[in-house]
Amino acid sequence: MSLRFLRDYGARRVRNYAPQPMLLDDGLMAGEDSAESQANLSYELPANDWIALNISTSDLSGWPLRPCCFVDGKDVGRTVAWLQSPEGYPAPVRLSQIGAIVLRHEHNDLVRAHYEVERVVSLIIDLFPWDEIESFALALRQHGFRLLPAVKPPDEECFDFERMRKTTQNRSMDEMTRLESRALAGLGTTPTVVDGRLEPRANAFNPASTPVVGVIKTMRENYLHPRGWQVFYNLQPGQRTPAFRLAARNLDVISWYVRLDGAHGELPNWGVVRLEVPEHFFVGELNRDWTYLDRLSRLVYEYRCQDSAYGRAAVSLHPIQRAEEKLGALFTPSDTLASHFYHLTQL
Amino acid sequence: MNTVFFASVIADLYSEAGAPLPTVDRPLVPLSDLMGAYDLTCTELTGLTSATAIQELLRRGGIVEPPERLSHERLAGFIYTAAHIGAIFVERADYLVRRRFSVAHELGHYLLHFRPLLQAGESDEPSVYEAMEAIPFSSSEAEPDQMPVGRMTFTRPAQSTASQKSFRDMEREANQFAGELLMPKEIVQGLVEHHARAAHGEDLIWRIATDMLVSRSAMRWRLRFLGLL
Repeated sequence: MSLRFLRDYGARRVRNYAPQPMLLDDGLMAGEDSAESQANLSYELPANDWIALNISTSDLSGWPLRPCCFVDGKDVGRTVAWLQSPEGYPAPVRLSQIGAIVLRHEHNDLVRAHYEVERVVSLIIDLFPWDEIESFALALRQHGFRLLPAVKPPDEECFDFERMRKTTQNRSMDEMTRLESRALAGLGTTPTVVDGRLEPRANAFNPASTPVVGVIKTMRENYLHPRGWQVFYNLQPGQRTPAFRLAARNLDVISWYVRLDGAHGELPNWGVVRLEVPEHFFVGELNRDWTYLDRLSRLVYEYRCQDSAYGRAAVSLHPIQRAEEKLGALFTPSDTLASHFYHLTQL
Repeated sequence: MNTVFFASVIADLYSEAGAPLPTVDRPLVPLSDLMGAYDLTCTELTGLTSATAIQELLRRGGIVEPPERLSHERLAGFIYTAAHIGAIFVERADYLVRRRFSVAHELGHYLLHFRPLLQAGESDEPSVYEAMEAIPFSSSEAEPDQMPVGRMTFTRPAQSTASQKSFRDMEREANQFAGELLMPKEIVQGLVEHHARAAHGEDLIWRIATDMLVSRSAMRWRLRFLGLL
């Protein structure tokens, strides 16, 4: 078992640096995280009749479908070294701490109900001899790290270091999503909010019986039509768009946008999040009860983060922010971990 | 051959190699260490064919005369054995997890089919015993539940002994051996028990396959075989 593998392939340390432009940027990587969903915008209202919808203000305290659990994940890491494969390809080594946490709302407090943290090393293993990778993986394991094999890009793209780096980053992010899925799976049919899209976590819950809602801060795809964008930009804090249906490979969801914060109209896109719920649950269990969407929207609005010191407060929920903080506190400082890794691998 | 027999061959392998047994906490099988138990070499070649593999053996002086019926068909794995030599080759450009499975598959042929023949022949004319097996190369992961099916070649008189068992049976046994070796029943069961509460279906397969450095298709096949999927 050998951690000398890295040195044997001439590994060099990499300092923390801003990602560089792609050597061969053809835009192909941009859609990697998207699910190629197809939107039906005439789900709640005819597409041409979209208007901003006011959210119900009824008391939500006794609502049985009120989400009481919050799932968040975190991937803190960077490329700590690079080595060269026998063919000359640059192979980044990404060292990360990944984790997932569940906070449960109990007696006006957010209590940690579950967490899982791992130290992982992402590497494109196909570039190297199998026996040396096997030995490296065994040695890493002995020191508390898991090796995450990243998928090798096509040969013609392997000379682009940024492409390779992004591939290893995607691998650890992907594994973090799996930890989130594991956390979610343990909750059964408890009403839950997940930070992010539901489709990548579709294996973790029964879409027919689980009242789970995904909160998406980053818009990666354009689902809206021109009328939809007009409504989107004119949403007032606490208003939502009509719901639309997104059909994806693993899960069909009902989705809509809610504005949490308006920044007094300074920025048109400020403070808007997208929510999604499983269509199967919404149709089968709730018989398309639109007040469910209103109540969820209202709840999310009430949960909005009001900590102005937090950079993403405008699109964050307080429980998710707390989850991120609690999870971060379980991580070893990145520089300390990198130093430990350099020591172990004699880099 | 049944799982009890495979288990006994694998136990001997660990014993010969002096390698530590995997555990649920350290589930990766040290295949490279196990290879060291016998006089087997393992080489990765780009553009592997039976012809390039034999050419490599000739270059090394491992053999003096090339066997007949060599092919230029691209291969994922290849083994050549004779009385004095055992050499495994895998395609360098193949996915690493498949390279490992190919090695385990060829090791299975060596331990289950070739070595017994070679040992049986040692007393009379060892130099005429020669056996090869080749696994065709597949460039995609499109055949998720198909295990490799290779082609075997025996020289006479080994041919007559080998023909008592069909080549198809020997391929199946080599695959089962590779599965038992790389994904031991107790370890896979332990990992499933450990992860099953929180991971299902593809997530579970992905997790265990990652930790055991095997392909998802191989793990799916193994879980089905063990009745765990």
